[in-house]
Amino acid sequence: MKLFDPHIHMTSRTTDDYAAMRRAGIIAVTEPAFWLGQPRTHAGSFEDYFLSLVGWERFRASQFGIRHFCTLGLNPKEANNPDIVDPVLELVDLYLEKDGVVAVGEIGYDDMTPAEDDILGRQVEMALRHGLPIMVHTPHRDKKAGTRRTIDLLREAGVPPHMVLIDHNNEETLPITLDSGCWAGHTIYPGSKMDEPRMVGLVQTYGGERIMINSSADWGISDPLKVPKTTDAMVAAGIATDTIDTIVWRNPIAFYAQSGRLDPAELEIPLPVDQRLLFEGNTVLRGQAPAVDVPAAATAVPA
Amino acid sequence: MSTRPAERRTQPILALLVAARDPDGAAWLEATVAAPALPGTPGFMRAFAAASRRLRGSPPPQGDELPALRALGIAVPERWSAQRLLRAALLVASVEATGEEAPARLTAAFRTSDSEERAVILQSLTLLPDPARFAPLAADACRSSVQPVFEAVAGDNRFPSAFFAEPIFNQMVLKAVFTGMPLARIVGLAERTTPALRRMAADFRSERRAAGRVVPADLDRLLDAPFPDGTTTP
Repeated sequence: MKLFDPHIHMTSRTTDDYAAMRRAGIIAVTEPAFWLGQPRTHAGSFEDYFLSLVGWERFRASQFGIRHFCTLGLNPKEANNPDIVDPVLELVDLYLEKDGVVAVGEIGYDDMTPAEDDILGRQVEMALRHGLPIMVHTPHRDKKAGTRRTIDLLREAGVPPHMVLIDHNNEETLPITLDSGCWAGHTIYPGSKMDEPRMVGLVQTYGGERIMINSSADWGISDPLKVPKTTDAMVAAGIATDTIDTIVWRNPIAFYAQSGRLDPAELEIPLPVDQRLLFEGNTVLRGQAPAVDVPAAATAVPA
Repeated sequence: MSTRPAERRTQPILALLVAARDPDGAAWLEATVAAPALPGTPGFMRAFAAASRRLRGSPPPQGDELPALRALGIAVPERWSAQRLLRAALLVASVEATGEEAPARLTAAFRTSDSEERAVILQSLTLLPDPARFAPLAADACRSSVQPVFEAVAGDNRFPSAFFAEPIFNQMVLKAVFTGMPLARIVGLAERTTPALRRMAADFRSERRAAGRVVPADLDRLLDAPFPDGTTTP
């Protein structure tokens, strides 16, 4: 089964992770712009980060047979520093036009401050102007209220619900998200947010329509193989193959293809690995022999 | 607590406690604060960092020193180290010499500080003149993912209950529950518990139960405690 992880922060992961993901069937990922665990203090730090998301990281993924897309935005965790907001939002506006950028995100609320309201509203306006879908982070604290407030803001801004992915849902926010008409993401995390058995239960209750799962793996305790592991759990629970395929492959493609920057037909063709390639003179190799696939035989993933 | 600073009395008391531990350290402090570098300047940051190399092995506050430090505004001086006293003495002298630029300068100092330096700044906020003006800095510190930095502002600190607006205070309390910091360490929590905070805590308890996950005991204590006026959560 082909798998798409619609939310994973590969910048923080190793080449071993890429190889393991490809072996487990993940052939496409979306990397939302995020924070680095501590807030950046200069707008220039964001520019280099955005450049790596549309450049080096996209290349690095391709070296393991994985197609890499990204979403760009100023995340709510860094939205409360007035010194960087205006210049970073100018950068977001500029970089949203790049190839491989398939949504504005992850944006939303963290502390639900007036500053976060302002920055969310400005980025929603950018998404409408660029014709891009919106990928929404829902807060850890005061989650239900935060989810409702986000959906209300998007509705008032005139964003069609099919252009919105509300992420990090749980048992109590999923009905709110589905009622709104938005897509519903679920982050499968070791020991928090959502786990495999609970996710199986949600799919048994709600089916696969507008439902997605992701690992949100980053620099913290997380697992880049949570999409294949949850897929296995759904298979073991007897969930129909068609429903699983909808959740782990067709839905992410349908959502992000609304950007016009992701071609569903191209995604069906395996990406050949050619580690002889360079990116700005750099390579993922550290003196190793490059792995090279003959085109259309993407099974040979470096172990 | 009084929101008025212990006018110009704080720094000499801290300096006395340093002198009681290490005469060399006290001499260095006196020389450094004779013409204090302003917070955030390279001169200040160098001295602030180097202070931790002094008073190694000196005892933490004890005996009669504890009530004296509590009177200055430190909630739990038992958790302070000798180095923290020295750094606080430097910081107070430097901020007192700064005037109206103090919030911007202290924010700059905070940004280039390591985790323990940040903790000292946050734990010392109530010692500074006109502490209310540092509320934006303290609120930003609540967003830290570095647990000792978060705990330096949220725990054993009189600042949040005295100066935080309700949304910021409530977010801080929920974050303490999330990160496992005992709510008993939040100074003034009972007085600041409002219907909005209880609603947030109740939503969180409901989400945890729906997820089949353990509800932190602190959440139950927060929700089941009576209001200051004697009423309880409906």
